[in-house]
Amino acid sequence: MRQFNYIFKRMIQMIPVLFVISLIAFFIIRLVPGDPARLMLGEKATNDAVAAIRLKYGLDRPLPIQYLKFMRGVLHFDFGNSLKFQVPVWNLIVSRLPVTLALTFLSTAISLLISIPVGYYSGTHKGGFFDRLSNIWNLTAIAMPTFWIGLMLLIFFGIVLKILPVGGIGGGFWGHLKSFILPAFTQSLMTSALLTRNIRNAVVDIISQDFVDFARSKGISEGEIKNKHILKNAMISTVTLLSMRMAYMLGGSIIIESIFALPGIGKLTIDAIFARDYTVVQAVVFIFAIVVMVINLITDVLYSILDPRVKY
Amino acid sequence: MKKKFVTGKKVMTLLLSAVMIFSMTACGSEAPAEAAVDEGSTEATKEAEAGTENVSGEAAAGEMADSITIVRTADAAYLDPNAESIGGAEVMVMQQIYEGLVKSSLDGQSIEPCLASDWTISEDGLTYTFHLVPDIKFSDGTPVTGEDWEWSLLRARDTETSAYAFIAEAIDTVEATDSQVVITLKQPWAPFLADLCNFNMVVGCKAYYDKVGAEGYNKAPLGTGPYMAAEWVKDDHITLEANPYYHEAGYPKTKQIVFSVVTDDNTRLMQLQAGQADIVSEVPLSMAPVAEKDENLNFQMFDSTQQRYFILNTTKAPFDDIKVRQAFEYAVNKEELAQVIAGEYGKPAASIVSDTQGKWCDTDLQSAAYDPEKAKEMLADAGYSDGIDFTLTIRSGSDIYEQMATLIQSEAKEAGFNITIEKLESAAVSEKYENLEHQATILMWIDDIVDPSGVCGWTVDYDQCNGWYTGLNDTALDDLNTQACSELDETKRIEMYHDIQQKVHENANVLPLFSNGFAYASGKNIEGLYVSPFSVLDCKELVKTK
Repeated sequence: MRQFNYIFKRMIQMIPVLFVISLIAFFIIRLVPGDPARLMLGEKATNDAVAAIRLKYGLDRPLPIQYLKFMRGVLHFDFGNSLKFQVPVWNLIVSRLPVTLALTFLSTAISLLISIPVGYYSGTHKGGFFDRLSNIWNLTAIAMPTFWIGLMLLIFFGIVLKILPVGGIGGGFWGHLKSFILPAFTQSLMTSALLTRNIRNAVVDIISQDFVDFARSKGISEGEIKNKHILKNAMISTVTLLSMRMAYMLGGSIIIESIFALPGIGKLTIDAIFARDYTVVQAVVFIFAIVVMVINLITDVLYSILDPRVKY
Repeated sequence: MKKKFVTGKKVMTLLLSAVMIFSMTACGSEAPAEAAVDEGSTEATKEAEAGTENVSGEAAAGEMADSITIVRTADAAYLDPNAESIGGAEVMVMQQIYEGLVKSSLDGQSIEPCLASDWTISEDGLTYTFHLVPDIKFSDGTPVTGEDWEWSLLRARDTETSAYAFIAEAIDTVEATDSQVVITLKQPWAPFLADLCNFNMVVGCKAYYDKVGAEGYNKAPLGTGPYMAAEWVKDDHITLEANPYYHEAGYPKTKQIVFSVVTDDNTRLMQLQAGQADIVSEVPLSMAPVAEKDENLNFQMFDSTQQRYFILNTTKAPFDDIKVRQAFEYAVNKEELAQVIAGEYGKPAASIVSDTQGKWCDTDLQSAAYDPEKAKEMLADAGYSDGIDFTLTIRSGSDIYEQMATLIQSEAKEAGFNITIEKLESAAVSEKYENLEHQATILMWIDDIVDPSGVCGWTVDYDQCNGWYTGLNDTALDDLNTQACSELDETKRIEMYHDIQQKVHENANVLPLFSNGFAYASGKNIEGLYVSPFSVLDCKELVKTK
């Protein structure tokens, strides 16, 4: 019950934060030079045509009026129409968000599948051959540029072996899955390296602590010590790191989406920024802010599950 | 044991979540809300799928593939020719869907009949009478009427928010029957026939527009072209199906064309190498040698009217001084620039009009050879013996512009011009030069029509864009351009345009740098790929052998 109260309180606290974010999302893109009407029409447009566009989309109205219109729309879950695509912004986001979510989710899953066993084993065998190998691999994965790894993987699996598609989203469940393997793996590389290092260091720290020796002296099985005492404690800082990486992957998916030709939210956002598609930019910033806040909330709740000492 | 079960349950939850998200992705990509296609078009698509007499018999025989995928950098935003935002991505698709009275030949040298079999022009140059090809139908089977022609051409002129309404500006009245279209102009307008080849001077279906409205028409338009829109997943792909009512027997040769969006240059080429795509448009010049060397690909460089220009703002020092502008031409090594950027496909340019425009280009005009010493002398004569500092504003994120700016910077330094390169995001750059806040920038031009009036008007007609963002208002030159547009004697017109090119060269406010072709790569099994100098890709000839 206390946890539900906490979640409720946190959700109430989100309201003023969202208000500030709405102000930032709305005004920051308008502070940047560049006229969406001119960009829509292109260089060959006459001034009359530009004026007609500004009038048509209400871009000639005072900014506070435009902001109030935006906020009224938000309260009705209506983000307006994209200036560039002329379709509801919500439709654009709904058709692209699943791609980015799937990419983030799969990357996270791959990262955890790699980092937990590797990090744990390295930590428990500190200084050994495997630990040193894992350190070299982690440094390499962090140092290699994402776009380069992506291209190399595409060449190898798409052109040389021809077993995976060269970009695109594919058709049907298996088609989608095949298309997501390479981008998800590419995106997971840095996250898995960071998580592995974090878990390994946490495990090294925990296994030398008294409570582990105490647990052993009580005759608790090695399996239980591993799962309940070492790994669970090592996951506390890992969860924080993971939540930050997930937020980063959601927002920073543009490179992956571009290399692997995935129609995700990152590409939509960057195109909207270049085209000064105000309605899309403000909606994406707003929705992303909500997603990141939810991730943070889940992280905080997870703390109390992993560490009973954390009370809300 | 219990622990293992709990772990297993977590793994199951993880897997189920993955399945759910993938299902969401499937829904998102296969049936997005904005990909709606009109019922009429869907009906016509079904007919096309069922196979019609129009589609080549050879394709039906199974020797040729049914579908060709063209990968390109960007998706269209609109498919209505009078929509607000029309660029190369839109035009490439619309050219397959719509047709006009006439069209430019593929070599870009002449004007050919299209939906008009022939035409007459009155002696005063005011009345154009076009005789229509009989029994033309839209892709849903609706016959094209005189009302459709009147509506389409007047809409091209009167849509205030269209960036290309100026193309139809000369039209006064349009009177059409089912067999002919009579257009009366406000005043004699020599480029009018060329203007009619532009992508927005095409026939659309009025009744269909009235039924579906502007939004519906944008998504699934109705034209008489070889293809019709069948599916559109925005920012991902547009699928066109053969128009079963197309008027040229045996065309289009392939049933389906897919325009797929892949923004990354490397991935586009790799998709072609992997056989996932059939044609890559806009191969970056830097990657042309890679595509050319690949034995499994066909690399083609088509003649184009594409040129790049150095734009000097004459309202600001130091380029308010004509001597400084003229000196600067000797400070730029166009040969080297063309060679480094476009390799063997680059050609230094002397005139603002591309030499691909044939007779319209003044080939007598010679480009100044790189001569830093002469540039220094000219600068000293102009009172700048210590050299000149200025800022070159270019858009960031473009390899070509960054490369060009760096090369020009090092070349001009020898001549006493110290250039600071300012890289701004494209919207910020355009706002800067539109307000004449820049000192110099680099821009590009591709002609839309078989006539020099486009680029010449853009350069000297001050009202259009402040003399191509140079701020130079040469009224005598502006008048000459107006006369050239209304002069009906072609020989005199050619002389006038040569004169304009000469005078722009003397003014030295717009400095042509170099031209290059349109680079395309395709699979070895693709035939019939041809791109005109105006970037028109006619898909109806395309064939893919199995």
